[in-house]
Amino acid sequence: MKKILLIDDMAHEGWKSVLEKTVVKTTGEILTAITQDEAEIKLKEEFDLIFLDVRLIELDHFKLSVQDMSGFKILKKIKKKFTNPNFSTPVILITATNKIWNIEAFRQYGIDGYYIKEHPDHSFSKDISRENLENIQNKYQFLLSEGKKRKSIWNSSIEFINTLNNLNYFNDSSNKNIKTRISDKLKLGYAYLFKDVTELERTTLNVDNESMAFIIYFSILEELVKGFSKNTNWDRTTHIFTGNWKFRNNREFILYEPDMDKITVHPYWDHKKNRMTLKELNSTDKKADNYLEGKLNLSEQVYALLFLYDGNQKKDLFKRINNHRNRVDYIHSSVANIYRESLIDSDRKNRSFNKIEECLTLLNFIINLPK
Amino acid sequence: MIYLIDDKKNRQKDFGWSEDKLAEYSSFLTPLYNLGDIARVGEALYSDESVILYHESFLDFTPDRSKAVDQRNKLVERASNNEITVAFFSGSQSSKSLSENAAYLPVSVLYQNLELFINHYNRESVDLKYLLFGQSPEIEEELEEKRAKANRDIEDKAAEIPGKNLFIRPKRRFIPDAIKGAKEESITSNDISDEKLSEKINEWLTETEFDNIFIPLCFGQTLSDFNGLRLACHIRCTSTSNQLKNIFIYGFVGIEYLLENEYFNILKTRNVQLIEHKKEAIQAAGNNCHVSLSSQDLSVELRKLNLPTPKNYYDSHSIANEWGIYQMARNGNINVNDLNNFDTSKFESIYFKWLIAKNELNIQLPNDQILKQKRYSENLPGLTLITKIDLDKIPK
Repeated sequence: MKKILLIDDMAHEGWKSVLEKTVVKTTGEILTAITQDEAEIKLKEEFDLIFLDVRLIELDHFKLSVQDMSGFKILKKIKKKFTNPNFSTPVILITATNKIWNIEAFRQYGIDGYYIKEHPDHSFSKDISRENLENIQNKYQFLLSEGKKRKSIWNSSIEFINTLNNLNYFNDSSNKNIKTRISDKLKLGYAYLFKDVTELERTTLNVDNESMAFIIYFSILEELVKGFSKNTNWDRTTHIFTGNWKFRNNREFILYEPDMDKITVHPYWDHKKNRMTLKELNSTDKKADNYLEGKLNLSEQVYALLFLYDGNQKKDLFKRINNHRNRVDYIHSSVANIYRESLIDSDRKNRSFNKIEECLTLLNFIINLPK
Repeated sequence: MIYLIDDKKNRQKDFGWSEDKLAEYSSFLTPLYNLGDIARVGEALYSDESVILYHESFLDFTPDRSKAVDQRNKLVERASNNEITVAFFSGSQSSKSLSENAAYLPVSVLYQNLELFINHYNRESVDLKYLLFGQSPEIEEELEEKRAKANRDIEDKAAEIPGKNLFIRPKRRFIPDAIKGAKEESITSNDISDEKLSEKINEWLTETEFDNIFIPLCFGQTLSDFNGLRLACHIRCTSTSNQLKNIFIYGFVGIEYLLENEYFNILKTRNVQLIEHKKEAIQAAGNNCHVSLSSQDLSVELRKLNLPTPKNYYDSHSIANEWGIYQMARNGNINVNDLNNFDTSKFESIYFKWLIAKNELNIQLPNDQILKQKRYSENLPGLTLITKIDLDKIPK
């Protein structure tokens, strides 16, 4: 049963009942709030969907700007912070306005749909009334599943942010920026993932927001690995690599011994052998510069982190995510992909959402690793 | 001082009473919008020279409702003891009434006549007739005289009209023995609200099918309300077996008295006719050939009515809520009577009845729409109806 909130001063004078009987039916239970204050108290709990009225008090009828009306203020509060409990909850506006710019103002703050209360002066035909109801029913049905997806991603993101906030690794002065970047990427990924895509974007421009979002979520690993690494690996002012890479649990990953002209990389993920090995090279070797300058593939860094913190239990999960990353190659494309793979692939697009969920599972796993 | 107690500032503006206009008359008129304003006036509100104009639903939809109700009861009590002069007005009121120092009137009439009332207001005597009847404060006396004369001049012989006829008459001062063999029903002064008229129509016009319906132009406490026009609208907008029958409104005034009436346009619709308060006129009307009105014509005819949105719907209990709920339920194939806490008595108002009849919403939804709604329910996740148990088929 879905938990639904109806915010409407007339909730108990017909709206709750009519929404229950025509739209929600057996899918959920409607709770109500009839004032802004009551709504704000109830919104401390999470809901699966919100029906929101625009005008809740007499004074709202005198206001010229929609931004000053109770419904708008409530919506702004819900959406003000990504961490608010109902940030990801779908909102359907119930409005008597026929002004498109008023509805547009609400859309700017994240409503997912709207139902126009029919005014007798604007009852043009029976077909329009019928479509009005069918639109809200279709929207409701869509938002039940969309809301579930959003809630899943949002919950994982919030779980991650909460752990991040409590973790000393990210609370020292040099790593605070990393924390902010991760938080921003989580929001950015969410934005792309659940952005409304127009028909034009979908059909003519081949927009694939799920894959774009996946790349953003995947890239959080860059920040995460740095947060788990000792900041002495890089010069404090120039941020140039010192030649040695140690994680914050004091395990060594890259060791450069200039006297012996020896670079030791351990663990080293051997793609061909599909296992962790030890790699030793000297400064004249082909890839030595990469290690001396700390310019490693992200996958190498992540495998090392997983190995040195956890004995690599999640390597298979990462491998799957990494493989998907290599197929979604909007950036850093391999030569082979450029010659062989099409950029747009509906099959890959369909898989991106699952891969994002897996990516968030991995991120949450890493952030919770014993330190 | 005249105290105007009305919380609907927006509605005041709609009726042309802007802040500037109110300020212009501030020597005579004080608008009060909330309990704080009233408290500031104090006991002066009840002084002998005060007139209180009171919105019947003052603060009804606010947390101050109970205090406002107490205040209203106090006013009613003082008015009944002849201690104060008070006029109660409301957007849902459709007729006027006056008894010495207390009046009841529609909000539109109040604001329409307020300026005139102020101009005739003096501290020695207050005449609420200006508020109720505007430029013609003596209209009621004039109409009473016309009615008395019309009744004095009435013929002895009953009108003879073939077929089934319904003759509706006021309780008192009516045409005796009007139509030979006609069914007669009387209407009292208490039957003038929309709800009561709906009740009467269902009582009189559901079972028997008539050929002609005769209704009085004037009934109720105030003759100049010309309630017969509203009753005719009700008959046309109520689904009964007599919805399309000929309607003759008999009255003792000409059409020139009716031009400003809100329901005047019913006379522009087919098979609704204003006739004289005479048996001869009744007989002539009933014997004239009329092309029957079809249900297809009804919607077109009713569009001529063009009733305005009632003025009690400009606020939180906006009409869009009631109409929106009605339309949502109807399109979802749900009976509005099955909704919880939804006041369906509103649908007895002539305005809603007119909307429903005009838009042909009384008829059942098309089958494809019913089927689509059924599919919607079935496709929703969660509980699904697998089968229905027919209790009648279970052996007892």
